[in-house]
Amino acid sequence: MPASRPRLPRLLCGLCLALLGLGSALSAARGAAPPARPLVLGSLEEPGSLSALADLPHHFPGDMPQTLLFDSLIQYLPDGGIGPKLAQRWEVSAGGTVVTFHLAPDARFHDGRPVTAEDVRFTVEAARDPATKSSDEGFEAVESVEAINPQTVRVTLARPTPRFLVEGGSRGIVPRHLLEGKDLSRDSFNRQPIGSGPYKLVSFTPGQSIVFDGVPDHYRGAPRIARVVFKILPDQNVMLTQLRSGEIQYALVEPRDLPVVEKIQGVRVLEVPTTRFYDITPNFQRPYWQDRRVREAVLRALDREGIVKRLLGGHGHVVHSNATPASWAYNPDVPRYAHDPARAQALLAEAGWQPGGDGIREKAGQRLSFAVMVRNVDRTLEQVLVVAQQQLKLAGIDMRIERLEPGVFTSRMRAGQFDALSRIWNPVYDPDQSVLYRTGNRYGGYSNPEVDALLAKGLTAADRAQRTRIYADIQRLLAQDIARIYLYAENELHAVAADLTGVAPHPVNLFWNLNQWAGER
Amino acid sequence: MIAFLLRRSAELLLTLGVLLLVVFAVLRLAPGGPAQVLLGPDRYTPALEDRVNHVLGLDRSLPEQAVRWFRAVLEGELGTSYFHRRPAAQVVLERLGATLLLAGLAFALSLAVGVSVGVFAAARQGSRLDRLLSHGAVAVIATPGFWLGIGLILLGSVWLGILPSAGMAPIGREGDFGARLRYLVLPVMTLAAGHAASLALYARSALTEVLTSDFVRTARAMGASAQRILWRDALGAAAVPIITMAALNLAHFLEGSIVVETLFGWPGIGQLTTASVARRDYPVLLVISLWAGIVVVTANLAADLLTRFMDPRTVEE
Repeated sequence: MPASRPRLPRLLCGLCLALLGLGSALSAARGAAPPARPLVLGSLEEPGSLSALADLPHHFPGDMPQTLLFDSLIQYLPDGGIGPKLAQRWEVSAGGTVVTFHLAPDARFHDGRPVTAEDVRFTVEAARDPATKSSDEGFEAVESVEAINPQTVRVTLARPTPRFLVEGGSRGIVPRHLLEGKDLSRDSFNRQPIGSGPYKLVSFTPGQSIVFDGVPDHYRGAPRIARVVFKILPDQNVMLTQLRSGEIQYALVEPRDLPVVEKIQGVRVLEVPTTRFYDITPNFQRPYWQDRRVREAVLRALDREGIVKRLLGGHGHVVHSNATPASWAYNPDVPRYAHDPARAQALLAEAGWQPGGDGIREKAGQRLSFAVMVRNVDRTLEQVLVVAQQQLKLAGIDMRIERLEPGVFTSRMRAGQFDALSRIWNPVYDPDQSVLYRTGNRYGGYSNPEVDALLAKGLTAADRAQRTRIYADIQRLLAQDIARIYLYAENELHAVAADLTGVAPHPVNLFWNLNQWAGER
Repeated sequence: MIAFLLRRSAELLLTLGVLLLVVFAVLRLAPGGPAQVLLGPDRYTPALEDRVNHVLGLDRSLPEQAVRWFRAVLEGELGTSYFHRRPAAQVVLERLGATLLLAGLAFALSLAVGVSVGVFAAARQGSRLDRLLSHGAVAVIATPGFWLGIGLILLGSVWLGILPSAGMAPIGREGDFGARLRYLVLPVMTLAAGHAASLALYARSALTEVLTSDFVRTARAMGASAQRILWRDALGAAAVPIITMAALNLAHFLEGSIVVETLFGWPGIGQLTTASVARRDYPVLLVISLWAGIVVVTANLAADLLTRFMDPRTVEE
């Protein structure tokens, strides 16, 4: 018996050390000749399907793979304009219902086959077919698609809409010759896609990484970085650790990460304003919200500048209507309601709300009290609302915060069962927000015939200048009416390796021009 | 024996059927749906949600969806993942290897360490070392896996800086076995610790009982060596409950792998489970439930068979 006493712990320690040693020795031996350093982008999101049929590229970094693999007809430019991509040029008919695209003759899929008008027709039809379980976003208004000749395709719309060119034009084109007759809802193409983008897929290891190689003979020119790796990481802390160790050269970060990120050598932070903004949407069914003075009192009671400064660390700005400076339709010249607690008090008194026993104002026995619902995933917004709650209380307004699971939030929003709701809105590709503000909308029920008319006009107006004027008017009217308690817009913070050049901010997709990025690798 | 196997197989199928029905119902009871996830937070509109629900068949009544799904399963069709847009079985299958590697190694490690420590403590019953080991085991059992994992990451990756904190292999060197081995150390230890501790306590008490029995005293009296009595005679006699315990533990390995894989970014079924719950990817979750059900039920059956084989007295007839 005594002989066995020291054996076990020693054995265990030995085993662990041996495992470690073996691991290090083997990896040192194998890792002796690493290949040219790839560009590694960190992401917390794993894309599901890589096929362009799944989605319109909206969110990143999750949608980055699609941007690299698939080229679309047009390029959505940083200023909100459009430039050529697969389509070298296009014409829109006088009525705005017929759009003719002329494809680049040298555009090819990664298997060498040319991109033709038939591929465009196939893509639109597949996306619209419910059996393929695809997103039809951007193609909703399409009536028919005709391939005039291999390089010319004509799209006829059921109604004129400027959204088709920007949204539909941004959808990736898939190869008909590989997909026709297949069950696109579950084909292996969704995992091993062939596109016409500047990068082709090398490997996809679920939960770990996606590797892309540049297409040297790409019709828009060879990408400058030969290999790009999309690395999936479990959480933000791991992401920051890997940014520091140089294992990744890109990460989307949050204001609270900045003190750490700014200390990392060889990493710079790119701050990009976006079209996303937050508001408190009142339910106009509630009598107290129908009084404009109450809505203005709420706005006046809120110190939104202070909130942006303290809670967002200054990485954002106050919004005064339904567009942000990142949008081409932004109108800076709308009525603004600065923080003015005295004015808030006066407005409420004027509207007949008198201070009650507990400091909350009352009118005809009813307290000025409402609940604002918020999804439990919007952490920063929740903090903002807590601060707002205190500021409103000082004005004699009781705002209760209801944190809800997103599903519950949505079902109550649809049923109109709320006093007020707070969430993000993101008019990414186009400033049109008819669905939110049109009379009869299911988002609080705001209604103004003048706004209705302008919203309709905005969708049919042909040129950008005319539309800009229309949306400027809409923004002015919404701010005048106080259709929403507009809160703030957040900037996006991208941490990128300092040696990377060519990185250009874009309101929708930072990776829009990744084929032009370059660096010492 | 054949009758026994048939009866148990029938029970197995029934258990799986009930399990799937419950999982199906629970998933739909949870608020929210795939549409909101697929559409993302900032471009949700009711019209888009209606289209997604229609396209995915989620606008049908619940009983109709259940009947359609069960009928398809009986035909061998396990559905299509909403998120991955590929057969759900395929999505689960490609993650299986990672989980089997992690859980298999953790299971083996917990068995080896747990039984060894148990035997070691039982042989020194009442000594200071025994008390230390027993209290230590209780402490490990009481420590939640995620807490232990974070502690190990702090120690191994942050303070000592010798082990990777997350992932399964270095990028670009996925085939490098040596490099991958280092990624296994922390998650395997985290997953194995609790089971090793509970197994150690269990083995200790089973052995303590056996060591006081008559045949052990007889063996000692006949001059058998302490080593032989402990590792062969006593452990042999205590093996049945230990094996049963280990097999029953398998269910906990699946449960534990959900936490450990999420914590360490290990791309296995556990991580897929957490992600799929968040995405409300019902088909994938049902396939995972089916798989977990089969593993647990089969492990129990195997433990039964093994017990019968090792100890003929447990046969009822």
